[in-house]
Amino acid sequence: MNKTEIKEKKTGAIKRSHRVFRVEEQFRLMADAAPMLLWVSGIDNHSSFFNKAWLRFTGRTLSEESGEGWADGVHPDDIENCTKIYNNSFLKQKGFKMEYRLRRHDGQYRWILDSATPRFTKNKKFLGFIGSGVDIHELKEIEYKKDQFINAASHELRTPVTSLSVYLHLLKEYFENSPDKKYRSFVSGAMGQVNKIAELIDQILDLSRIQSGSLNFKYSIFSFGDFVKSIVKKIQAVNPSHTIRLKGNIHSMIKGDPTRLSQALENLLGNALKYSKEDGKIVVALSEDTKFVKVNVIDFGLGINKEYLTQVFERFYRIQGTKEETFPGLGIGLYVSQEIIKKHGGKISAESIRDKETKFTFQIPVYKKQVKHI
Amino acid sequence: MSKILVVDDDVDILSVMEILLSMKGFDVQVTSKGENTFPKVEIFKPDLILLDVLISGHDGRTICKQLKSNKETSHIPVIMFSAHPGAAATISDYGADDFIAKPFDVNNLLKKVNAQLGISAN
Repeated sequence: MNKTEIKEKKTGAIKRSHRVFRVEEQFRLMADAAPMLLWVSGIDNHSSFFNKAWLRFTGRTLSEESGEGWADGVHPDDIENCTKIYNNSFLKQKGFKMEYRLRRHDGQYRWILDSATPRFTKNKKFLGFIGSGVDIHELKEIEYKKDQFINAASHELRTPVTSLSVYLHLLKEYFENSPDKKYRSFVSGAMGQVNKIAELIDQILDLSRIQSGSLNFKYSIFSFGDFVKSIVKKIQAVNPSHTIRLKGNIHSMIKGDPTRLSQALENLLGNALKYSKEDGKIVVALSEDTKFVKVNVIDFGLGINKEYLTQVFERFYRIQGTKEETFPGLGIGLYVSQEIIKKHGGKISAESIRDKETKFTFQIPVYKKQVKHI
Repeated sequence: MSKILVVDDDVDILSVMEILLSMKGFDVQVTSKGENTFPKVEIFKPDLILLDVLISGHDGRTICKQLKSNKETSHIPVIMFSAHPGAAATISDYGADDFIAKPFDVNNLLKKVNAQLGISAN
């Protein structure tokens, strides 16, 4: 390399360094002007930059927050979970979202939603994260009040439902010996409706429990095939106009909460009944491999457009459409079912061809007996 | 005739429970005030108590614990009931013999009542 080449190389390096400096400076200006709390961490797993909004929020200096200093402001009850999410995402080099309480300059802990995106070079070398935090404290408080309200409302609604169902039970007994069967069927009809109200209250309550992480599960070990058969039998008995065909025979045991799993399966069957033709056929297909048991619930009714297939599992989501809007529902069932399946270490998905068929599939891990090695 | 005391702050529930249990052949007394539980127990001497978990101004679980820690009343079976979500998980520490969630199936309630009273279903 001659002198001219060396000079050109040096000039190039200086220009690149100036360009990098200008880009960094522009980023810093933008970050400091942004209203949300921004931070940047490096390959050493330490945070090196916090924007002005962050420093104003915490009332601390950049040097105090740098490295692992920011963790001093995280609520003691949240720090373990925070560190776990951060370190796992760092190892996987994947983005993350987490909620935690961060101490504000006045000493008050505020809920923050922190979203981080991994940074990479052109050659896909991991450089750390860039994160942004938003104060969601008011939103959290509203959610808490909403959960409190749902708890109180469900309590208030259950009490009259209890009285009503006892009165109806007494009426049913009274008409049991009546020669006029008509009255018996009236009372049975009314009891069915009361049960529906009770189920709706439970659904709304489950939703609130999922939000607060207090949905309880009582696990036991049982045969998944027998369990599905019993649910199909029960649903078929109360829906004689439809034919529910059970296909496949499986033998694996699972560890799960039978009440919660029946809630999920009954919800899928309920949707299949609701959206299929009046005298429609529904197929429940069972299969298994060494890791999972699987159940497909297939109906041949209205179908779902492809773009809605993942959204149907979202809370309160109801498909917009002239036909769909005519069907009753709260948009809770599939969300609750998904949460139940997830809690069992399983997965739920949907496939559909509009106006032909819809297939909901869920799978649960097979229970494997722990063998003690001596 | 077995005697049952029902304690609940909701008068509608008390009214329907009184009708139901009387029709099923029990001698029933009710109270909507938690503080009346002990005088009622002393005078009426029930064979079973159906006790709500949250009674206006009183915690049924505390009443249950007091009943179970008093040697005069500790032998009386107590079935707690509640429309409150999650109440079932909290009652075992208070000595209750059983729990039923509102709204309940009447046959299920009667099964629990009979079981505590040692009455066979037939």
